[in-house]
Amino acid sequence: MILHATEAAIAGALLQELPAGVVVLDGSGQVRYANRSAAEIMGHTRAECLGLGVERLFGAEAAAEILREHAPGERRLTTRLPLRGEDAPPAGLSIVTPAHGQLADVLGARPVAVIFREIEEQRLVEEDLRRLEGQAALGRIVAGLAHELRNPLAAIQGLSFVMMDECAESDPAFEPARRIAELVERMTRLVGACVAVGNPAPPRTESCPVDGLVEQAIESLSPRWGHRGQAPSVTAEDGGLSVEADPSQAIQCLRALVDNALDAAGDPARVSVRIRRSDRRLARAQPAVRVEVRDDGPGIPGSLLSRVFEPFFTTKPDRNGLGLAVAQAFALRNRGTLEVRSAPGDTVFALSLPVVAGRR
Amino acid sequence: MGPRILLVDDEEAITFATRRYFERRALHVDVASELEQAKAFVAGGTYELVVVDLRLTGALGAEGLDLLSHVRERQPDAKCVLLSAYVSAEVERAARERGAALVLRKPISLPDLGEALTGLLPR
Repeated sequence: MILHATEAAIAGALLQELPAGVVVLDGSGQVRYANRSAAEIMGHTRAECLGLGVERLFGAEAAAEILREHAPGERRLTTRLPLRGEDAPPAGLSIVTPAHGQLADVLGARPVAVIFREIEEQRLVEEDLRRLEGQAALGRIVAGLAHELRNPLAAIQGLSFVMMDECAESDPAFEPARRIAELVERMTRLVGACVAVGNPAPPRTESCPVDGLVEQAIESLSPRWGHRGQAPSVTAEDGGLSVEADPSQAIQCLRALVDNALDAAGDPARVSVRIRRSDRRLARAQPAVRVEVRDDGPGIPGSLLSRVFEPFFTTKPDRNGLGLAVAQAFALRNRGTLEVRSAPGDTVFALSLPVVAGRR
Repeated sequence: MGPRILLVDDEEAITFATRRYFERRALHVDVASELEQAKAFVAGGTYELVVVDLRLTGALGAEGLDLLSHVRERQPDAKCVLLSAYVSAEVERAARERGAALVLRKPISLPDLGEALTGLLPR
């Protein structure tokens, strides 16, 4: 018994000193224990943490992962879950479901322990780059194939135009030719996107005023918001910011984000774009401008959030799932980052690009 | 006889379709698939328009630019158009320096190409 008391004291003291956050939840998802690091990372005092619901503390996405069906004794590792709070860095979580026993005696059925650490920005960037390099070899094959497909596709499209050109619209051959042209158009867009993801052209960076980039991206989509309510609203919290980026790639990236937001937004669509200096730094401590594209749609379920940048991942029947993959490839190639967080009615994609020192 | 166009591209199916499309619009179209053949056409006739792909069969990967210089020297009145899948600022500048009136990005549909070329022809 004495030994147990000593053990408990040692364990308690060590838990306080651990550089990782440790939170223990009871079966109803209420916080029953939080160590000092956990409170610091989450921006609360330890006392404030106690009794909070898991969702209040960690945010919806991480909460969904933590509360997911789990077997006693199971240990799950997650990477890069965004924590609550606008600028809270993503964290890697280790979620431990203790086997029935001592903890369950104290906390009731199905307690869960969460051990987590912030992932430093530098590591995030390295992780992104490694993933990008891993994709690069495959990407070059895909891009090479896509490139070889371009000419035959252009030829098929040309031939279908010739067929349409040479027969009247009432001719039985006209409609098949028109459909061929339409399908080839779709394939051409797909091939272009594959080249962009697999082997994006090296960026030709210059100093670009951010509001100009945002304006052009929105303008290029005007036929879309024309019949879906208002144009996206743009707020520049810090005026006159310029970024170091390839303007055409940055516009394509922003265009994909606004396009995606318009898809997700309610009806009438409410999409807003916010431009400001970022509190966080990019690789090599580079200060950044953050452009947030926000929509009021239903939100992205936590289980899907980590997949939104995967090539060909889509939940929309009429989309190819390359828009956000291309956007992220361009963001990373331009030494920036592209992140997402989502809750019902509030989904934000945030593009950060290196800021150009001084005002323009 | 309508205006004369020299069309230079090494993808035979593309030139087949393009020629046929423009011939129906009363243009006379000559087709070359590589640089030397194109130069022979330039030596043998006068063109209102020369439409050339940046990459032709060859080691340079930019034979089209070479042809632009060649045409400007011998037929300065011909309007030249460069087509390329990759239009970088560099390619655009190099083409303009060699007298290109237009630099168009491929793929481009025949109606769009037709419209662009019509704008260059004397009315």
